[in-house]
Amino acid sequence: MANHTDQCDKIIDYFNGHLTEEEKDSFELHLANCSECQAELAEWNALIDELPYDSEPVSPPEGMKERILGNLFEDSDQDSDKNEKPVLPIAPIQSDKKTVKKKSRPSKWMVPAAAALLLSLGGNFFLYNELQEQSAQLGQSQDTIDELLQFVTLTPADEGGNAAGTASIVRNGSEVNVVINASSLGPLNEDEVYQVWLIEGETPQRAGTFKSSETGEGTVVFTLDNFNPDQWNQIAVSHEPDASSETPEGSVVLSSEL
Amino acid sequence: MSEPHDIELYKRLVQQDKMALETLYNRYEKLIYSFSYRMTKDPKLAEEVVQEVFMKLWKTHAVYSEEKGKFSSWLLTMTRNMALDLIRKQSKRPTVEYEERDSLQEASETPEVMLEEKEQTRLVRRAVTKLKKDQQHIIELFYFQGLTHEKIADRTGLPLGTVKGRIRLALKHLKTHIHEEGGNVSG
Repeated sequence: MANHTDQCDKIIDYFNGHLTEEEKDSFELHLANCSECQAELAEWNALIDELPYDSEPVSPPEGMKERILGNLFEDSDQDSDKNEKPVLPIAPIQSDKKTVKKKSRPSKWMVPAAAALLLSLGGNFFLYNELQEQSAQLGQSQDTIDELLQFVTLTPADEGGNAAGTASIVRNGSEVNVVINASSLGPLNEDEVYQVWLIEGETPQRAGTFKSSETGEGTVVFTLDNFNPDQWNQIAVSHEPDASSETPEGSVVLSSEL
Repeated sequence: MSEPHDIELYKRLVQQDKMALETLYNRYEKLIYSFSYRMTKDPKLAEEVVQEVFMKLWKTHAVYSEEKGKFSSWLLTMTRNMALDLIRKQSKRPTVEYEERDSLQEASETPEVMLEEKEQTRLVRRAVTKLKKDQQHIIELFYFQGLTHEKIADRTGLPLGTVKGRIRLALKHLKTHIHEEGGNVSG
């Protein structure tokens, strides 16, 4: 019985991770048969629902998000096959020579998602690396000719103010790219983004996501696989609280029939 | 209180969906950082904790399932363990007797803190404040600093055999106060 008590007294060091492997094993053996320790431990584990909230909310240091996500994604990009890289997430490199040789890529919705992520990270080195890579790719010779399938002028909705924009649907070989150019967009707060939606009947589907520049300009390019010209009847740009909206949550600023 | 959305995001991040990870990051950055900072009292170490927690989530797919309880609880448990781990590795860590609430940099804005989280923070902090000083102290040493049984005894001047009882008593009072404040007491 004395031994039993000794083990029960190790519960604090067990909970706080101070036991050696051997001591830990021995305590766990004891724990399996000691209902008192089991109950105590369950209670302490449940504190996680309360005590962390006794922390003064502190603003993380500037740039922490970019550093952390940058590190994670940089590592995983190095690990993963280059084929999985998203293509052409943003505008600055957009030009009449924008043909980029693409290899196989994940589903079409992966592209806007990746673009949104890149943009929301806002000018960090992850984005920089992407641009570097794409710039290198742009040097390659162009072996297909772009064909403009449709060009529409986007008209501002009530919420859009003076916003203006265009959408071009361009076929390049077997794939179709959509290019949105917009200007006079209102300012965005930290997490807010502009989200492009393609609307089939009444159902909006996420397309490109972008942030506007300080002067209110924004551009996004995204690729549609298996484009069917009759599938979409409308294109719209909305102002979203963050880049995760699965359906439009904010107000539409620009739109056009297709 | 259930957060099916977290689970959905977790499932997506297991498929290496960066966007899902970022959404979870945005949702929990502030809470995890604040908790880590509270434990480590060091902004650099706190950032390292956040980094390691998300690294585990992203790279090694620390395995979460709904049987493990709420996703947020699971994430916070991982945060606490990681913080204790890094604190231990940081041998020259300054010892801080008490939580220095006034010296912590107060957040100027909390746009990402969900309303529920803010409410929970307000409630728990009020409940802790209602505890006697020695009870707050023992919770600080035991839970936030994660000290050994022996060190808790040293710091509080309590006999070894009394420490566990005092922790139990402090937690019992805490639960009562949380209950009075209108919170749901789990466990």
